[in-house]
Amino acid sequence: MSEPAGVGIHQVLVAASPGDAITNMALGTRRLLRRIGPSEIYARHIAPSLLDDVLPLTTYRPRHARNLLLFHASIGQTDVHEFLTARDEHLVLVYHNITPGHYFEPYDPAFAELLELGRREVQRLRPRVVCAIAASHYNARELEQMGYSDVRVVPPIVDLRHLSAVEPRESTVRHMQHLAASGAPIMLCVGQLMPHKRPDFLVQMMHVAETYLGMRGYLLLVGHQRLERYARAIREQVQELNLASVHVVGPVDEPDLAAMFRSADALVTASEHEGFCLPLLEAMTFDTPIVARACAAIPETVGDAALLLPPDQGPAFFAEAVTEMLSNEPLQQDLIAAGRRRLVEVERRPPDAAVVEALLEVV
Amino acid sequence: MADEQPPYSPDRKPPDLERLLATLRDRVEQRRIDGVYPPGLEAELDGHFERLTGDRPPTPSFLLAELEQALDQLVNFEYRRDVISDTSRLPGGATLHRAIAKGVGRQIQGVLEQTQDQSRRVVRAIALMARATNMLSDAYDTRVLQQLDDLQLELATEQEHVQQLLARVSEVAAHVPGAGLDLWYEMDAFNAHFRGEADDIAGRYRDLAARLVGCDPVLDVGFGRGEFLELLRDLDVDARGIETEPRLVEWARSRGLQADVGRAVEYLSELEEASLGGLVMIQVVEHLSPQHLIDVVRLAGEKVRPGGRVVIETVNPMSLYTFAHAFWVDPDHVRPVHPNFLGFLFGEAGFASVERLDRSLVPADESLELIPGDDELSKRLNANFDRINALLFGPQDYAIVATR
Repeated sequence: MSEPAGVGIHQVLVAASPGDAITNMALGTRRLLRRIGPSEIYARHIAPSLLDDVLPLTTYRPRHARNLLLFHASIGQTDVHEFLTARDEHLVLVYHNITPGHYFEPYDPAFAELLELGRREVQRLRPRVVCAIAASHYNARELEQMGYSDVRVVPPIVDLRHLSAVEPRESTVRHMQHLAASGAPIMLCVGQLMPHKRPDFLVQMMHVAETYLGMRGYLLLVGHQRLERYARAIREQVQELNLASVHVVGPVDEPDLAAMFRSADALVTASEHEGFCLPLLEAMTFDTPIVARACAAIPETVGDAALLLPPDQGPAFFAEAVTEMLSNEPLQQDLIAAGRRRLVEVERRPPDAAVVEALLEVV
Repeated sequence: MADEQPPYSPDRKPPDLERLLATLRDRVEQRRIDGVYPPGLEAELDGHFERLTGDRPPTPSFLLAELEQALDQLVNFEYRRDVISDTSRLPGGATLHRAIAKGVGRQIQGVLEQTQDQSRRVVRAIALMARATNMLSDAYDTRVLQQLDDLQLELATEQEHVQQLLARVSEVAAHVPGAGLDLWYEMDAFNAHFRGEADDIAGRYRDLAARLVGCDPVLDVGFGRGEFLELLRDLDVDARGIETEPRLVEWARSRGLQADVGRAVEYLSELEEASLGGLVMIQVVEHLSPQHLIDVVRLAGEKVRPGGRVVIETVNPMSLYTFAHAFWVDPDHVRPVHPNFLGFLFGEAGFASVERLDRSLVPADESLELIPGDDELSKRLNANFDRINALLFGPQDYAIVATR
């Protein structure tokens, strides 16, 4: 069988699941790549609902005159690593950052080991990689520490305003209105319930704010709870600190999330490790002011459009900052305005062209 | 206030966040200083979370809350035909799938409805089980709470009983000699007010100290300001004192005297038999309860070697003058000790001889004056005065020198 002519640019993921940031990014990138040629997504693990959209890695065949592989590095996976080292196509590495394993060691040592393996594999792939793309300068610095050079920083290819255009679910809107009717502000934290995101820190913050500062407010922890032991500890923490105001919501779909963002008075995160942190930019599209800790890539993602707290300060400082922000209308307006400016700035440099340019150079 | 806020403008300057952070930092610090945040608050919260992440089973109340949430989700779950995908990646596959779906749609609907019915029954059964579990747990809780209430009542009654006993004990203790008074005034001030200067006292006791030469080692029980110990040291007698007040012991030691904290009965009990050459108790026995007094004399019989001596000085109850002047001035005095009884005790305790000495005579100008003259009336009156003088103005103290 003769190979079709042209350039095939395909993406390789370890796992594809709906709602996952990397999967979403791969889908966005595929839309872009299909404008210039054939493009597929291959993954080692595929969630059933994506079986129509993503192909099993074992079915990969180079079907075109020239083929290029884009690997989204996220976690260790021996099969994927062996596949990538065995192929002779040019390889482009998209580094989303890999959470340091130590965060997971107490809860899931096997998972922690996979994360560490992921970092080692990224390092070992270096001779195979013709171009490395990082979502942030923070990620680029990590790649450079692993021996990569000339790393291109390209923000993730996603439609930042997608979520704010989603029609919010009516029932959730009503539920949120009911919460808001009490007059207590609503704080939203969007991200998986994982140790490096530090939801435990936010729960502590709520305890301090309620008990010692007399703050009334709700905290909604929205996101997948894939680490059962940690998620259970968070739910027990909330229960034992008697915080009726903290709701461990779990995963929600876009109409629910859009409804929550619309009612939220603030987006808060105590995360210590982020390669980019998309929900921060999404919050800006809803005019939701942000309070975050200045950790990892967060400062470069938000610019001046968030109240960034020093990482060495504890929950008491965070509680103080949140209380101040929620009661300081001019500050909220300043942050909202800064958020709008930040969005304009981010959107002024669309990542699409940068990626295509980088890819075409190496095909 | 909302109406005082400046209107929103997209051109606003970025806020001075650095200054805000500094303010927040100061505010947190001030709250810590003011005690709004308890010390170690954040470390305690971290410790709490670490305990939760440790390897341990969840609490029953947590599990029940989880169960209720899971049941809620089950109850609200609906099987839906529209989420069954009829798309396909194969060319023409989607049309085929849709055709099949259309053909078997009614059957699928039937299967879904039956499955839904079955699920409802399962959910109902699980919900009933959960309710039963809750009821059992509630019943258990109620029983435990009832028992706790009963226990608390019992405890309260017992506590009241204990309080009554404690009150009685402190009442009794206040009357137990040797238990000591809880003084709020300085003992030095008391001594300076009612007793002589240290030098006068030394002068008064030189004769008694001399009776202990050759009686080493001597134990001075209740040495007070240590005058007698100093007299013994001057006479080269090896002597050691005990006192109940640690402050007095420190003070005596600072003057080079051998001193220990201790009480008479306990201290003497610990000594080897016949290990003492002498035992001194100056103005001490009137502070003891009758039981302690007889115990001390018994112990003196055991611990003082044959040939050794016991020197005791105390208030003389045979002189009514002492009751009017000295005895009741000291609130720690329990009862006077009659010389006859003390003599009797030492005799019974095996002492070979008991000598009694009159001490601290009442100044002559305080007793009744005799009438000059040799006639019968004067003689009889003077004889009566003598008897009255002996009763009223007898020596204020007496000493016992008992030889073992």
